[in-house]
Amino acid sequence: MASVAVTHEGRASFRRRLPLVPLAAWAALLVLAPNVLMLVYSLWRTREGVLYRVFTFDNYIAAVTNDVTLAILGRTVAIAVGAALLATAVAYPMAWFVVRRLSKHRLLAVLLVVVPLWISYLVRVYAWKIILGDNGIINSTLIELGLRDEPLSFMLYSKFAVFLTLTYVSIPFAFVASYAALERVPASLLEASADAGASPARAFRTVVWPLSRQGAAIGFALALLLCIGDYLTPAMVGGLEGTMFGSLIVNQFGLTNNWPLGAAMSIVLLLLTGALLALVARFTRTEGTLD
Amino acid sequence: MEEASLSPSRPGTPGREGDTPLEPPTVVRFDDVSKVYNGATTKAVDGVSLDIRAGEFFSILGPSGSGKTSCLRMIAGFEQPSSGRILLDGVDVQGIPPYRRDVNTVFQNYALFPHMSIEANVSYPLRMHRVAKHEIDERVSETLALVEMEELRKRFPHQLSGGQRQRAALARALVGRPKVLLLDEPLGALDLQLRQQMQLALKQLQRDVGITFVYVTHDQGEALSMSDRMAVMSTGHIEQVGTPREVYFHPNTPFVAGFIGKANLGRGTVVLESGATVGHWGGISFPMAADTPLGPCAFSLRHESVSLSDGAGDIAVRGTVEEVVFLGDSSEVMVAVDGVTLVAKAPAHIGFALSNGQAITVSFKASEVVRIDG
Amino acid sequence: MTSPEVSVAPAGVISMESALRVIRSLFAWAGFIAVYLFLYTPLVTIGIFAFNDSTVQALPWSGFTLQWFGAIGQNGLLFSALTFGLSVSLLVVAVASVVGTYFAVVVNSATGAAPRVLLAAVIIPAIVPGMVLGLSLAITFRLVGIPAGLWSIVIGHLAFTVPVVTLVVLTRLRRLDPSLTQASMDLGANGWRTFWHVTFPQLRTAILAAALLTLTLSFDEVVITFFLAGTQQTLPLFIWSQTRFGFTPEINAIVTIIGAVSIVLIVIATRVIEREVDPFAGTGRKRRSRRGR
Repeated sequence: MASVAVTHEGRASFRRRLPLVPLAAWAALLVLAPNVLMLVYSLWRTREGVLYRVFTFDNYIAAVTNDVTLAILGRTVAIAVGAALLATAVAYPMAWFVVRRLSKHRLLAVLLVVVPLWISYLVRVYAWKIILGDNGIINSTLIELGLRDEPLSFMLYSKFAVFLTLTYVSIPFAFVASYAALERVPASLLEASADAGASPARAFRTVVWPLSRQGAAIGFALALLLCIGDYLTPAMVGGLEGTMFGSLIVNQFGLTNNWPLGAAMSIVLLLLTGALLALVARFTRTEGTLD
Repeated sequence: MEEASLSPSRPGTPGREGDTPLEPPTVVRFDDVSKVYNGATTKAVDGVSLDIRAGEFFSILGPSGSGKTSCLRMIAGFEQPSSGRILLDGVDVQGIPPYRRDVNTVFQNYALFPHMSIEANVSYPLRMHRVAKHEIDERVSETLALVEMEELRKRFPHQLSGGQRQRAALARALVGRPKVLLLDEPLGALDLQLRQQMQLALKQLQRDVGITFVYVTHDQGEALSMSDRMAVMSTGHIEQVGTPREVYFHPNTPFVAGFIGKANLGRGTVVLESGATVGHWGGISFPMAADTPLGPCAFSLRHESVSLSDGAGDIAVRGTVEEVVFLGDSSEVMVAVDGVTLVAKAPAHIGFALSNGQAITVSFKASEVVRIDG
Repeated sequence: MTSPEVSVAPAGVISMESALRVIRSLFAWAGFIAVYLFLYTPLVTIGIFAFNDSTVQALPWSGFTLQWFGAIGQNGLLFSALTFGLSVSLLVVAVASVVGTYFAVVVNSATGAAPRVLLAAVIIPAIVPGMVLGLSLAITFRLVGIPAGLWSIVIGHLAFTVPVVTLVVLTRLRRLDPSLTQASMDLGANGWRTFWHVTFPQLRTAILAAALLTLTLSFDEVVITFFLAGTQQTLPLFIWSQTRFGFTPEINAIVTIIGAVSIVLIVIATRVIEREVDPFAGTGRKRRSRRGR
């Protein structure tokens, strides 16, 4: 009896696992293999466009000891963290406003924040080029109105332009994550804390924020992911001053045609991103969940 | 609670033990069944053995966590026993999936498919069994008529009231004429009045269709009023199986005595005194049947068996009123008698007339004191 | 207690407080509206320049024209990029919807650690920076010998869209009432028929939403496509190459069209989904039920 049951179990568990095979194959072919091959590639070298399959750490040394590369890496982290922070700082209060102040048009308000995500990323970035350029809307308006004689040159092809555009594209992500968390904070908890004598500000600090900061952190993390690996924004509005690490990787594929160095840089970028996200996760653990 | 509703005595149905040699066959048998859920340390169901007979309305009564729903889910096939066997119609159903068992379930939340009309919901089991189209139509109409839902057949579940959904779920579970119908607290989501109506309707329906009903509930009133037989469960095992009358008036265990209705419970002893069997409960003594086991035991006496007048029973004792609790239609009077506090159920106006500390005589019938092991 | 001084003071405090509250509320509304202005200024700008009668994309406004919309049809390169991009995206949507749904169902029904680990692995390409995914796939395709072109792009897009579909469908699956599945099994439907008759109908809107999301993600993608494309460009790749050398306003025109179409699609999708969620929106259900019989 017992042994029959065991073989039944065994066969059943094998049949239960069978549907997982395509999933495993997908993970192996499209995730594991490319990453392993990229790692292997990063340990090879090219010279004058010819690939040499010899193991070396030269690419990593080149990626992290070069002054220019290091400066760009630092700038990338600074801009990405800054833009993600600003986007979260704008989106979180906005989400709270929508949750508390709007009822009938709440869904519309949320939808309106999300709609820009459905418009081509490329186009949204390009729009900023039109807005910020020397002949752009801001500068031509300023000159037209006689407020300035010549265009403000810091606006396009600068770190400022990259920072502004990345903040712009990050806001919807930070908003959606914050909103999802804030919407789940029951109004009854606020009433309970008001009932217990807490001022609105105090209620926010002691009840709303602890229960929703994980959402804010998720929004921040999403924005950070988006910014740190972006290529289009720095390439479109950054100029030389606004170059980011992602642009360097793309250049290794295109102009310079040094894939092994690009692969090494990719791995550096992955590790850096992972470390930043781990930091975010570490600082936003919450006790208790709503569900 | 009226006496009449407690005694099921319709012809051809097994009411009590050893009725006739024509006792209907067993349709569901639990053979020492236990269930331990993954990650749990205690058994949800612990060594249950049980026979449910063809055509009876069988209730499993117990508080939440007593294992009653687990028993039902094992019959349906949603859970597998960890040990022991379940037999449906004499066949071990170990490993047989729910869709190949001739039992249907009425779910607690009804589980009507939200994307299908009532008609489509009710025809679902027939379509799954590839019944011919014209027969489907016929049987769906017939079953919807049975639960008085014909005119709502085109509606969707969200357009129905709770009671209507309940009837639709019932129709869907009955349309395939299963051997056994499993009902998992089907009235739990309804309000009191509707629940009472549905109790009567369900009982009537079961009589009409003649299908075995296994009814899980935590409501003793439902179980007592509807069942032919019932099992009382607690912490995974069965405390008692019997007719509602047996379970109510002759509880086998202190748990049953305490869970069903309200009873005075206390420790005492049974002794042989000059040839007669006598029970001692505190300072109260009363005769017991001659075959009563001797020694220490527990006694149970229902509140309504204690009368506040001295002529109502053969045993009368003097005591003082400790407290009167007003319950609306009646009152509970706690009377201290010789080291025992007896609670009597009395009409409200009698309770009002009493004051604490007042001397009073209470009486009861010795035959209504039940000796319980433990 | 009833002296006038005492009764005046609270009144004064209250009016001060309410004035403060009004001011604070005004600031909140102003900030709220300012964010929307910030979000929509770029989109409106593009829209405006699609109708501006000038090749220079700067103010002042030089008059209304539709010539840039007419020019789309005459620009052969742009048109072929558009059709190529669309065929890539439609292939991606078709495959990703099926595969992603399959993965979600498998992960949802399997037990143990394996499905969770595999799911985490499959999600990776959706979160790594585009150029990292693009480069790793380009390396793989070069080593394996898959030529750059339609199929390399499709595979690259599938790598990051399948996990999106999987997550969207999985979220819905986890919210489904398990007793419905059990009821179906109880009533005689086996696993496959239960999926088809009970589970799938409840997933349809989630799959539709995921498919739409996949369409925009794929149709918009630039960086990964850049690594995997052969000589034929997709639309965003073409636009990208144009922006490097000065941008013609017909690109404003085509992105305006695409933007408008996207918004119409979302509005339709949202209404379909709302109808599914809102149990009292009657007509759609009746129509479906008739089909069901």
